[in-house]
Amino acid sequence: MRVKLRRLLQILGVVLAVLVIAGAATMYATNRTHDTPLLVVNQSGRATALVVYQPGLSAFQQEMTDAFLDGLVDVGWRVEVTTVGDRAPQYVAPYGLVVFGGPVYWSSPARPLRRYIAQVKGLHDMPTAIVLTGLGSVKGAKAEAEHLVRAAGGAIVASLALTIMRPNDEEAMRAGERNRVTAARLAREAGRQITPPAR
Amino acid sequence: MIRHLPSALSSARLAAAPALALLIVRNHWTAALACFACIAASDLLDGPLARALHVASPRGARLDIAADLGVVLCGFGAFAILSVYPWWLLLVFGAMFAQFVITSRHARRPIYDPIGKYYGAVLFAVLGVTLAVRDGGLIIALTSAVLAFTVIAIASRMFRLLRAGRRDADPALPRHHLSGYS
Repeated sequence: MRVKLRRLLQILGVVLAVLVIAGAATMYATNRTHDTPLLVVNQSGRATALVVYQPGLSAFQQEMTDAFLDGLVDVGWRVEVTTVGDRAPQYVAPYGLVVFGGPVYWSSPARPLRRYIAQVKGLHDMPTAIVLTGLGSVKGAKAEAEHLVRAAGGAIVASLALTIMRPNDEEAMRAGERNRVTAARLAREAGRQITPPAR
Repeated sequence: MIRHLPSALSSARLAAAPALALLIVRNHWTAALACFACIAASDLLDGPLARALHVASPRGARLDIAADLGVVLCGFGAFAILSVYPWWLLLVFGAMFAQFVITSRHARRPIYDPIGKYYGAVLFAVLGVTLAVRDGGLIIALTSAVLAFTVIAIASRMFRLLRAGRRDADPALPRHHLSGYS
């Protein structure tokens, strides 16, 4: 009886330790901001777009942000790109387009991205695009991000929610295209749809 | 014929592992979940069945472990291809399996390891939850949980090994709770 009780306590102790460590690590990983310098792509573009994104733990968010950015460059945007952090611009009125990107955690956009959208200034009537990435269901997170952007005064011109573990395009998948390739293609096409204003 | 059923179940599990990986990589989630459910059921059944039929053997136990390792590596490998889990997690599992084999071979007597015993079951549960839930936050939590459990399992095994070594050196120490070997 005592041995059984000791074994049960051991198991409970291990479960508790694992839960505490996993909870703390998850809180840290999902709330961490990444401070990177502002990079300029296509210096000679007609108008300037700002891309601010929260990198996920996998490369998927980075790849989709890059694909969307490539689409913007294709149609002539000059793009300034950075991650959510201290160096991300807090006043965005001088830009012609603002793009927010980030992963979906617990059916919601990543918390640092939500915080950034809520506090950024100068978004009034600004053409705004959203590029979210997730594993499974991302519909709720997409609606939440759109609501946040509208609440901050932004005018949504494109809203994408791309996934790894759900088909991004059923037909393309049936035709044999890899889901990740489809996602990158859709992101690039969405970027190409937003033409910069004439000088 | 029926006495080969436990080994057949383990072999079928090993054979189903690449199929599970293929279903995951190709995003056939319902089929992958069904395949995983069959794999998990076979893992639950083969041990008790072998004991009930009195055909439990070291060879059967080795086949069971190999099948579990195959499922874990194929499942997590497929998730790594999709960038759901990091590749280095496979190295952690491989290293964990290697230390299990090495410490089992070098120990003079079987080591009772109540935590390490559940390591495979935890990895199976993580695979199942990942297939069913599919959320980025959950993946981070599960990865952290697996790493924390790995560290605890290694520490537990080392502690048990040292204690077993001390007992071998001093026959006066009690051995009464050396039951339920891994």
